[in-house]
Amino acid sequence: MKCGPGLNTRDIDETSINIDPIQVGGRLTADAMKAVIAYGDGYSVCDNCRKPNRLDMISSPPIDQFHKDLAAFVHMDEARVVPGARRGFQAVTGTYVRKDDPVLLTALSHYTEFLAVEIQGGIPLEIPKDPHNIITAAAAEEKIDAIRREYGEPPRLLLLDHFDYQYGNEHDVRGIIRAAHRNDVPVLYNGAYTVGIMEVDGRELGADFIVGSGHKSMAAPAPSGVLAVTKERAAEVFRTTRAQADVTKRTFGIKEVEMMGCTLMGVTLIGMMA
Amino acid sequence: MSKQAVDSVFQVLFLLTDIREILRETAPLHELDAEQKEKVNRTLANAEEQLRSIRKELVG
Repeated sequence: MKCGPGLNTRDIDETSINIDPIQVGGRLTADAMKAVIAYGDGYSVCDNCRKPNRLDMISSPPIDQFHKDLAAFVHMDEARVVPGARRGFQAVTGTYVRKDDPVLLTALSHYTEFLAVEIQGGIPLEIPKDPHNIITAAAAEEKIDAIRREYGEPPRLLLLDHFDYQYGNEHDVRGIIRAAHRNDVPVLYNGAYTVGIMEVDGRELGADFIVGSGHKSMAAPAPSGVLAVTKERAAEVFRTTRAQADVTKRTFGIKEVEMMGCTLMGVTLIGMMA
Repeated sequence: MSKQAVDSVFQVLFLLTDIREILRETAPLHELDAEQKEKVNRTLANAEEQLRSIRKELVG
């Protein structure tokens, strides 16, 4: 059956038992499918954008409240929707990482975390895994010490996966975050496989940034995700534009630089909300 | 403008989505239990009513 010229209808979830755990986490609810039907048009959300003209401030549909709900959901202070977890990583590296900065990842980090460091010109450095393919707090502490010795400063940032994509192993995020904070290293908790699947309490974990994936784990269309931060970090990551055009003298209001103004417009956001 | 026709079109699409959800819940064999059969029956009846409304509004 075709849903358009050359496009087969995707009916795998209607005709089969989908046992891929990642795909199941992204499968839409009936309400989300209805929302996709109603909000498929490109400007479906932008219709309702009123001054001060920013996605997270639209009140009808209640996108503003959804952002508050998202922050509360992961026990953080502020949240924004992003086009996939990777864009959440990029917003954080874009804020904190500069050329030749050492940045800490792990031997089991997702490749998009490496790309988020690379795009800033940072140097990705891995915490080694143990023989059981686990990242431990002791290994994190040791690597931070080694980086401090080699670079004369601690890493600018640690990007840490709660469950890794290679083995699906759970790592000691609490212990590793404590080790990082003892060394003044802010931590991005990558919850692409946890936020939406299990309780994630960013405050209790001590994370500075929480990233989740809408299409992997929150029953939302792709690409979608969330970036949530503490209030201490919000003004930095969600800083607003200061640009002024030289000829026209235009300025751009309260658009957020790392969000490129607005992020999920239309069906992805409404599908995620539903 | 026929707001009634527009509403009915969306209603039908949403009702069929509810049936799609049952197809997903019961894949791959689609052997429905009594409760699911009753739900499909009720949903189809509602959808048929909405289809009649669309026909009346747009065709006469």
